[in-house]
Amino acid sequence: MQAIHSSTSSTPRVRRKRLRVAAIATVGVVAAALAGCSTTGDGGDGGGSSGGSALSTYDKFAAMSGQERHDALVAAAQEEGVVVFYSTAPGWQPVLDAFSDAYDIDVEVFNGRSETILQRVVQEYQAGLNAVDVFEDENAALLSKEDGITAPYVNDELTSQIPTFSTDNDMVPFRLSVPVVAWNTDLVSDDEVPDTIEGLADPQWKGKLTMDAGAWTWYMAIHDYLADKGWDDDRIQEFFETLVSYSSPQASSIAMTELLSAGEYAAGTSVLTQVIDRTAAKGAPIAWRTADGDYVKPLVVQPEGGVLMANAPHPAAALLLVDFILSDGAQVLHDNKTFINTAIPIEGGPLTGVAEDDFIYLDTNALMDEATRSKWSDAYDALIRGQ
Amino acid sequence: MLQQRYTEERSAGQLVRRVLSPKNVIVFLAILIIGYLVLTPAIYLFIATFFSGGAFTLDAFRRAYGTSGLDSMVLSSIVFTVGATVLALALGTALAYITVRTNVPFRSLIVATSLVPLIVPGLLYTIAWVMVASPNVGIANQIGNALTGGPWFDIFSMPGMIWVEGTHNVPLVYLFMFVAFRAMDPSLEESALVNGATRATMLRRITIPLMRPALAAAALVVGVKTLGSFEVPTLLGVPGGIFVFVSRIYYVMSDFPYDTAAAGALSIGLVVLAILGTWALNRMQGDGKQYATVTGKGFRPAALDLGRWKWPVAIGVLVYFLVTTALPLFVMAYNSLLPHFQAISIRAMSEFTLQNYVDLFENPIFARSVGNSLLLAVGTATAIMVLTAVAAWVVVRGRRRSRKLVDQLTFIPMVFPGLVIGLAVSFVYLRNPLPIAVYGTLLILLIAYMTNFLPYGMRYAMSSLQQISAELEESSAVAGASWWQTWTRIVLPLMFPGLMAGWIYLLIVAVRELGSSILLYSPGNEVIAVLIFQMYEEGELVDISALGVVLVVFLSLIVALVHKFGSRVGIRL
Repeated sequence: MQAIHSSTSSTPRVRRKRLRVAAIATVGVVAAALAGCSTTGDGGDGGGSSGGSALSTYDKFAAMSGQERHDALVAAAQEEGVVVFYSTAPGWQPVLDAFSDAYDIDVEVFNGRSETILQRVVQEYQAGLNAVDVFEDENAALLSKEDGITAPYVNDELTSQIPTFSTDNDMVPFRLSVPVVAWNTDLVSDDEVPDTIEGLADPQWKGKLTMDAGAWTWYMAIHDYLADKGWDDDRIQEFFETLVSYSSPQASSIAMTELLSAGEYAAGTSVLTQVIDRTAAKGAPIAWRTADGDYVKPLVVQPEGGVLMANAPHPAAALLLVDFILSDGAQVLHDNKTFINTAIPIEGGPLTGVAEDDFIYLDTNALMDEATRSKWSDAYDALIRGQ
Repeated sequence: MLQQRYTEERSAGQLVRRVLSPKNVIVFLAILIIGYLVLTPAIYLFIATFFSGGAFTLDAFRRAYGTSGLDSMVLSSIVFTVGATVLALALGTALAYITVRTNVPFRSLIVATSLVPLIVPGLLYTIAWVMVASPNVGIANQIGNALTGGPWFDIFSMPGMIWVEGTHNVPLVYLFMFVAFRAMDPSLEESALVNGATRATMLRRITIPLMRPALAAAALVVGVKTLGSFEVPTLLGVPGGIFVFVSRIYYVMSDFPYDTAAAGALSIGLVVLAILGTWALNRMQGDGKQYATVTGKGFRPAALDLGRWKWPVAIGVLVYFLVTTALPLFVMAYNSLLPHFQAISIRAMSEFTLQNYVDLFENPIFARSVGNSLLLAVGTATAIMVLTAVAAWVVVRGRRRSRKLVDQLTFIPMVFPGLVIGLAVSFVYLRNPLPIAVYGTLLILLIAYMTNFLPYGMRYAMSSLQQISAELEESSAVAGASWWQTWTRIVLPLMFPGLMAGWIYLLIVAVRELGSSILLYSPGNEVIAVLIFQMYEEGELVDISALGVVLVVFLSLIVALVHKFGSRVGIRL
């Protein structure tokens, strides 16, 4: 039943030659494509034609203040008509809608993972494409390390109200990311909630905890907190090893929250407050505060926010959007029950009632240092993997 | 003199005609497009890996592999990949054989539902299994705790990972084997039986050996896919303390700035593993000619009578489908009706609501992304199957050298994570070498998808062509048909069922693709995967479940339509 094998009509020599031609042609096209790339430049100065005009717009409004600044800014922004917002954080949509309604300016949004968007912004900038006006992300400060890619936001009337504002980098804090100890209210009563994080090393938590496998910034902050209490390195290491041995790691704050509310785990070490609050608002048995408003101390606070792009195609609209997010936007976030902790604290916000002494603020500038980043992320990775 | 010039002109004309024959033009264009698609990211990654600041360096390898615990990571990767691949091959092949070649009851039901696990996005399939078998609240373990005082399963373990990844890939194997069994002449099996072989001997000595090309193709695709899978290692492996190779690539890619070079170095590790795999499989496949069972001689596949095994087999298959298809679908539908994620319980059912569906249909991105995804998926599937039909012909019928070149060219993208392809594609089209706008349009997604899924289409096209004997084309040529006529009247119609199987598979995976979509989409050009991602980031598992249900219904309808159309064409052959 085997097929008879005989050569087909086309001679092998001719065919082989044609294949080689095809291969060479292909390599040629690709090489030309890649060569074409390098001419438009890897250069850091690729900011494109409107780069300069964005910076001069920023300068112009930096010199103004009060109602005069606002009126001129609205007029200029409306002329631009649109603003492009890249963001990794969920929950901004109500603010963007309110902005559009208030000023009749369209907002184009691109959402994605933190690293993806950063990469995209850098690639677009290097290729000379002026695509984005405001970039918002937990790592926005990192972007301002790239020379000339971002511009400072100057508006003292608003920034003076932001406790975590720093002029050392271009990021304007929009929100605070606060990883806390969360628990399932069906499995853990208010009496069992420990006063401080050290309480989780009690054997009663064995097999009941979950930890975020990527939370190295939380690890770094708690490490410092314990060191400040006079613990030596061995004792701190032993404490974290105990926590890890009591817990099952999860890949994200989201997965931790879902499994905590389903009852797979009793408590989690570093879950974001807005994720807990949002899930609890839907009726899930999960909380980070007791009925009395107590919480497990300390609370790690990481300011996160936005940067203005130096090559923004719509610089006035970009400035106006940042103004709006910091001012009216805070109330919109609150009214829409997004449970986002706004950088300028507002009445009745999720962190209301937390004592200032219980906060540990993460130093954004330290986090931008590559050696610091890799030191702590590698150490936490090894801890979680039990190396 | 005049005569001589005339002859010269004629021979020049003939030469031009011969060089520009439909066959040459088509083969040349196909190889050109494939080469362009594949080499663009490959060259980008090569330069990024080995060159830093214009100088050659191997530093990326140190960063990529210079980590503690690498040996245990490699071991876990191998156990996970081999385990899940073997499981998928065994189950997929058995199911295909049972449905194609035996008289088992409920055959059409099995065929209809066999593709469903493929449609369920990996994220939701994995989450469904967490709800079924997580140690404390998984429904199976709740029953176990009640009956025997302890949990029965732990999904956060290596067996759990192998089970979930393996069963999710069964439809992929099924698609390959279904087509192969259909094209196999049963007279070979009958001869074995007539000559006194037992059924087991027949399976071992005749059936399985004849299926080798399709088995090898399926093993390769499933193996590489498992090696690069993300959801299962993250959601099940991390909690169980099991870390695999691919988690490492994502880890390297998850800090800013991207260490593209280290990711490239890790991809090269995958390439080495994949080349070893291809080499082993090529030895298994031989030159393909001895597996051709579709020849000039007609045959009518006859069903094997299972006899007294008819009902036990039927029950076994039904249980399998209940567990791997109905159960995850049930869990997904259940989740989609809840206001928030919770363990399965009577109390939870009292909270059922349709709010998640209302939210979904009110989401402005939803309608847009369905249209975009459908357009892209149909475009990707069609373009790839057309290209790979030609490329497969070059590989299967071509001479040794051309075969190797095209075979390896089409294989390369398989080892790149989607995200890496996305990075390369965006780098190139931000400096657009083409005369039309690409960046910021749907076209850039089409290019990324085509690159990403080319190897899969290639495997389908090749395994379907390998079963068609060259003698049919030779007969056609002898009878005076042109190459074009042979192609359109003989080769393509015979390949059609295999191409269709590939088309369906590509359609489904293109709708689900996340890695490159998330980098390359632009406002207004959202696709379904982007929506799933956004919902996941917002912690809306119940909303994703609603989207999953809609997706399964929607894609099932498309697949059913295509299947109906395809089988009608199949019958005419």
